[in-house]
Amino acid sequence: MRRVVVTLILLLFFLSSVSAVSLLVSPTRFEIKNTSHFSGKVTVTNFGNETIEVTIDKKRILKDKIHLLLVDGGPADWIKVKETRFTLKPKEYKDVHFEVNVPSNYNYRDAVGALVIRATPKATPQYKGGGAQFVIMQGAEVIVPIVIGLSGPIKESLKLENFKAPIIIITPLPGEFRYTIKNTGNTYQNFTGTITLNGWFNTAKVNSTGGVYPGDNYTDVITWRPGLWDLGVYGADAKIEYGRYNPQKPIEATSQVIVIPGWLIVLIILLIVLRFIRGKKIPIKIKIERE
Amino acid sequence: MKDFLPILLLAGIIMLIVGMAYDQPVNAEVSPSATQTLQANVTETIAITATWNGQENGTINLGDLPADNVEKKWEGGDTAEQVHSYSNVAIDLYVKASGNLANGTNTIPLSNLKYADYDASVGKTSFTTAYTKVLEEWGPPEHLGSLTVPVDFYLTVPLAARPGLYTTTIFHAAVQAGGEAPTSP
Repeated sequence: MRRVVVTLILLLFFLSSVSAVSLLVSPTRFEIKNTSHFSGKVTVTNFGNETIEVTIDKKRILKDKIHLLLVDGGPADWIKVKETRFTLKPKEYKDVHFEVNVPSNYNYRDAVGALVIRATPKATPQYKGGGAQFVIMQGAEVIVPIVIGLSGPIKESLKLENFKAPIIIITPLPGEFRYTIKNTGNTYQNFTGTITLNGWFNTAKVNSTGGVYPGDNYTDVITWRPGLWDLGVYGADAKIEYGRYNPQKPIEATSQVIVIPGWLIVLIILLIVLRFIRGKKIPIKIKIERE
Repeated sequence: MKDFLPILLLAGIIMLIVGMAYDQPVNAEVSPSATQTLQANVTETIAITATWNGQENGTINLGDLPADNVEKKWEGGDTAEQVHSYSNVAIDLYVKASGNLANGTNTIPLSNLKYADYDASVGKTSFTTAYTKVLEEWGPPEHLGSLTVPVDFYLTVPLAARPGLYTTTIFHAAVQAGGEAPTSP
């Protein structure tokens, strides 16, 4: 009987270490064109087996290659959400209504706001006593972009804020080239960034694509992994091409990179060690004893 | 009466034969209004779940850990952390944490908590409070299917960390791949 009780207690302890939050949202994006007023709704569903707390927030999206920032201001201020906090039991769903009103003094053609739908569990962890215990709560978020396109004159313009290249690349490790561009126009811009590496013996090209909204910065990271036989000083020429409505003059920048093969370093070290070993003279001591 | 019996019988047979010849099956004429077309438009949907040990409760309990400054690993999988997508569009997946692991006023830096893998060779990376992309254009799954990726966790408890319950919250966020860009000029 005691064994059964202990087993049950152990089972309960391990079963308590389990977790999930299940969040479903539809539709997944809105695109509003040539209107300053829009009403819409999203459906939020708890498709899991645990009750969840849901909050709806309105934000502006700032995004680059790696990061996503959800900030206040700008298009976030144009969005009004009717249902901002509620609880969903398993398999329950709720419609969330929102409105977008663009101010008349807004001078950009393109902007993007977002509904940020967050689900967190209702359960809270309890301290069981003893040493240091670690519990991580889990939440899920679905971000629903609201893309806004307005009529008006078109100004396409990107500006290079900075361009950084590594000084030395030791293969087989890769090198990262970073550049930041700012959209100084009034329309969303897609761009293609190409890094051309001109070396003593060969040339390599790597490229990347992205998009940036008016007034925003975008930091792109392009990775280049030199080949086994790449060696020497490389000229790194960056060229950023853009122009959503009409092709624009590309943005260009130049830097230099020194590529050193890792195997060459190992070889030089081995040669130095070998020379050191061969060149070291060991004195021979002879002792003559007289009888 | 007996003399009329054969005649009556014959008349009855004749009537039966004539009746059968003129018998028409009764059919209801099909009315157009009885035929209905049913249709449903399935909209684009994002559905994600993050599970620990394959079940639901809301917390990841890493248990009791000594303050030994040694990194511990919990490898993602069926008995640990997984992220699932049941979306019908491709998504970009991001991850962040709410802040340091806290026990009242005692905290352990969030940089001591790390993630990796996602079945995409995501290198060991410290959590931050800003979203970092871990999967790009993930999915969508096959029709009626799902996708699952494991997530490794790492935690280092510094020396002299006070006893108690330390908590933080991690968030996985999904956005439709390319969803924040305009579709056309």
